[in-house]
Amino acid sequence: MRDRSVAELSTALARGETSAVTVVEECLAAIRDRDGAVHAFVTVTGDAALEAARAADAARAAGRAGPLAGIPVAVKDLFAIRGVVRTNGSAACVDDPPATDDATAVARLRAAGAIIIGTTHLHELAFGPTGVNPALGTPANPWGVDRVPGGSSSGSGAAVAAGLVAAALGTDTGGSIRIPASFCGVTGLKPTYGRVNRAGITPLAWSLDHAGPLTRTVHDAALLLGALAGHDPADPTTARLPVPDYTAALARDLRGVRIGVPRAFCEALVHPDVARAFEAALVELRAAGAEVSDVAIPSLVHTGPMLGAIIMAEARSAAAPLLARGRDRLGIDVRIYLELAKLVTTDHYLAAQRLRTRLYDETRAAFARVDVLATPATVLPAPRADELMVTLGDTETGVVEAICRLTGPFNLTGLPALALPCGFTAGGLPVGLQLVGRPFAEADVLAAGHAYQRATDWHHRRPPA
Amino acid sequence: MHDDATLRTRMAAAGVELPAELVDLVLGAAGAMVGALDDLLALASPELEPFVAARRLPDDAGA
Repeated sequence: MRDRSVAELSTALARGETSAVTVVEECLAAIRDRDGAVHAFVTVTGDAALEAARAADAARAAGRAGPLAGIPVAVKDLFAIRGVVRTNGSAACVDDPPATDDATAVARLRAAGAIIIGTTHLHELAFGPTGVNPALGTPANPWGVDRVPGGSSSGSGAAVAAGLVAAALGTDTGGSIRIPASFCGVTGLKPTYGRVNRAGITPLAWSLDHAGPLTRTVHDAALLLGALAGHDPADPTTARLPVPDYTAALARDLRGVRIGVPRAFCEALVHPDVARAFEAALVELRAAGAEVSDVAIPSLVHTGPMLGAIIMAEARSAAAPLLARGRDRLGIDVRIYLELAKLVTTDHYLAAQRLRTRLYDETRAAFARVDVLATPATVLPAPRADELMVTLGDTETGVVEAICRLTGPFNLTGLPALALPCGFTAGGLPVGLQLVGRPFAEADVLAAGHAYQRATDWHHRRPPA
Repeated sequence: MHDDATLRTRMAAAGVELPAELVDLVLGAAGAMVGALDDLLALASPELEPFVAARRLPDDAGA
């Protein structure tokens, strides 16, 4: 179980080499034996998972197995799961009643045969990129116990990296799928805004929130996206566009694919080990047939303030009901953020939304010349929990802003972005590569990422037991 | 960037309530944040329409 991907498990299940009940029992045993050290899970829904596994085996015997039949999936505790309390990572929500319905993303996974194994920890209210959560617990980074897992989908990243599950759901407002993927050495996909519906997910910032999978491989991300994607009347922001066969796209190779690097922005602030791993990844992509060139997207330099203005303004509004009923139970960092959000005026908010248009137009212009953009996923490897500032080159900057520097632009533009492992620092911490596509061109980034994983073995590396 | 007195006034006017023991600690970060936010005002041309992802992205799909 520990080293098997979703695709491998699916094959074993289809061939009758194992059963859904056995897979779920092994998954529950792994969680029981090792989650004490990893601390990825908030709630483990063992009985319900075993019941669903028996149903999955019966469906397979009757010839009705869905594409994810029998695959255990962990879910960030920001999604509604029928019968489970949704904590949102906050002490203010732990006494809430259990949800009466599934979030649509959860329902779609179940409809495809996946088995919900439990809920995972997160940065409180998904409002932070480190995953540090003093109230409900901070998952360990399996690659370094003194390092943060990244957030806000911290438990989902740690659970996949530790081999407790092969797949998990996360959300991403400024990088919260791709950051834990980068810090924990796994694969994370933020689809295009509007590709995966968000009904039943606690909002942080409506105009930036996305949902998507964290997995070990790009192939697995494609399998999950196939189940998750599509229009849903419950979320009017979902697009009425056809959903392609993402796994079929994985057969493409990189010959002739044009990859653009916003080099000036990438090189301005980056840890040297991350820069080395990224350049090595570009060499691999070229060797696989891609044409790599530099592109200019000048407004990237305004990402931090744009993202900050929008997240803070929207999060304060989204959290208003919680502030009214449980303010004193919120963690101090979230309370400070929500108080400082009062400094964001309507003019600031609209200026940020206007600049988003410029950033999008510049990025769209870059896509006239290239098919995919490539950057490091994060400019630094996982920091320690007590690091508030970081020095990169000659520049000292806040850790939070540094962590979101390369992921945030693609929340602002809404473009599909994939993070995948591309190496390690000298100290043994994972480094992530980010591939970005045109609107709704997830197939392009998945194909490029899969081709990269065919040529490399970073995604097969496992943290120490 | 704002001096501390100006920033304290602005925070009070906005109704920012922070634990007294944290005000000095937060002030530096808040000053940098407010300065960056104010810079956005000069950068964003009023001719630019605010971004609406749910409209722009489907329009550009396949482009």
